[in-house]
Amino acid sequence: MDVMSSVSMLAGILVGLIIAVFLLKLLNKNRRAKTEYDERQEQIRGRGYRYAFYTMVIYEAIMLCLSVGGFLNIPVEQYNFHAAGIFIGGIVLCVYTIWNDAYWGRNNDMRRYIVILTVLFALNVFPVIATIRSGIVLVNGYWDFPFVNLFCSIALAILAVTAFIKGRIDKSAEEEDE
Amino acid sequence: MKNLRLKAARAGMDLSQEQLADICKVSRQTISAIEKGDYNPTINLCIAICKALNKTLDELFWED
Repeated sequence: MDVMSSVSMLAGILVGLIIAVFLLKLLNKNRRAKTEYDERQEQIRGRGYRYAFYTMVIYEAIMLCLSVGGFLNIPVEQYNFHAAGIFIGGIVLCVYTIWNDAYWGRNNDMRRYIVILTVLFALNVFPVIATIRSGIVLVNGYWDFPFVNLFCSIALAILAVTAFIKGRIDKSAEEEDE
Repeated sequence: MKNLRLKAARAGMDLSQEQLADICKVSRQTISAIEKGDYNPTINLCIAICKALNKTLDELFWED
């Protein structure tokens, strides 16, 4: 990756983080960036972070072994492997917390949440589809493919499927509870 | 172990899980988990639930 590409990528990450803070404020009913969780949810989230951490450590260890052993001869930029680790850890956290009713806080607005996640999915899946349609080319010996967008799309799709299944299960359980 | 006394007290006050959860500032799923016996609440949450349902800790949470 040349200097120009690195700078533009870092700028993109920075802009993304700023947008994320604004989106978090927009997601919450009380317009606060901090999502409020109750004591049970905090407990579950703590466990979720632990599982996500273990997953990332195991993933990085495997990648390290593969790299040292010379098995990573794929024409993909190295940062993509690390990005994949972050996304895998994030998926573990999200799926675990969704499954245990600790993903959405008390002050989250579900409708806005779904809209924003759908928009994020569309924004990420668009460059992936566009690249596939135009054909993947090799640039400086690497595939010119938006892998980070692909990881993000997959993560959001997994999140949506988990939330949908959990919602279905909860609906029938709710009727029994009440 | 299921907390049927909590469920009965809530039903007695004609409150849904969602309404009790809002009063106690927790999620509906947390109230559901307490009633099912899947979650042991902290003493602070027990007190909040007791106050919301006009019951004592003994009446709702003490196991005989």
